[in-house]
Amino acid sequence: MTDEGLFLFRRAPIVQVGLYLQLFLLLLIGLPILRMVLATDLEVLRSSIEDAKVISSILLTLRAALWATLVCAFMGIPMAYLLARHNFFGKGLVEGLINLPVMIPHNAAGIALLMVYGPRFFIGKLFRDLGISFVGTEWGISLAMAYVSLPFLVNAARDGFLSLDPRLEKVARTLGASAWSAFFRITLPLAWRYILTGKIMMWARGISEFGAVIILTYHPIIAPILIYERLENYGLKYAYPVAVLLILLCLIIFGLLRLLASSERRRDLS
Amino acid sequence: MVKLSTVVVEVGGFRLNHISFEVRDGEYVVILGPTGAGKTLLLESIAGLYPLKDGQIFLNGKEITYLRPENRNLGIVYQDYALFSAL
Repeated sequence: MTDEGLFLFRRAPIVQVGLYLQLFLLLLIGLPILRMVLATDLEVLRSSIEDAKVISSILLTLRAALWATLVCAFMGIPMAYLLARHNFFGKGLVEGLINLPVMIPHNAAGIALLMVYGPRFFIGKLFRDLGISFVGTEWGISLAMAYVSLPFLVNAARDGFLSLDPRLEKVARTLGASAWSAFFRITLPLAWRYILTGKIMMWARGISEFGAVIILTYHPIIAPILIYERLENYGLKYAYPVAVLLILLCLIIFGLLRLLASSERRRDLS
Repeated sequence: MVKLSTVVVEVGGFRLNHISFEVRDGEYVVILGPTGAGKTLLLESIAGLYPLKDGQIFLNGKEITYLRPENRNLGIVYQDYALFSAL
């Protein structure tokens, strides 16, 4: 590290202000989590790890969010490509609609989903006839998670495609690649890091979803609802460990995934 | 040789209107024009990257107007070379 790196006061005033503000924001985010981890009683944490209900709710949360991410990636990546590469009538409206779930309160989103996919509306009835119910099932959890977290995936993938020069695809076409081949062999591998980051963001947002899920599906219970239930019924002391466990697990998984995303980037640049 | 006959291409609000010329074997042809005149679009259209609204393109006497870019056996190089950043 250089002298400049060690002594902040040698830097330009605007950089110093930026650094101190950054420190403040990091504390704003990190301090509550650190305090929660430190305040947890180890005995209660151990009993939580041994509590089958806690573990199954965490696994259910991770699984439902993963399904939501995988299914939405299948549909969202082609959509992101379309938005990045083509102009069409109503494109602004489509982009606005995609970002709508970020803006509306999530319990309102849950109610809206219930009104469409619940048993009283024809779409909900149609799915019920096919043997799929979105109320009180894992399907419902994944649906609610997908609804509120899809924008993260689509926006990240679209930014990835936008960051690539379309000429790369055009040159690939003149060198004998079909449109599909150019997409899968040129565009997708180059935008992969953005797409992976988008998937991580979507999965993370899905895991943390509470408002929309609780409207559609209280049971089977996901971890954020279990935390709320324990807080309501037993108090803060019993809500801590479940929250800490979920946070620690998520930190480990996302740390590993971020590592993967950054190693992809290093490989791309080398 | 390459021959263009009353080629019309429209991309967004931009339009190349009735372009016709012929390049014979062994000839070098320079297309000049200010930025935004449509030089690149013209080359991309010959390569098949944009569909024609009207007109025909011939390569060595064979019509290639409706052939896909990968089937035209025709390459273009941009002024800033398209180097694949992962290579």
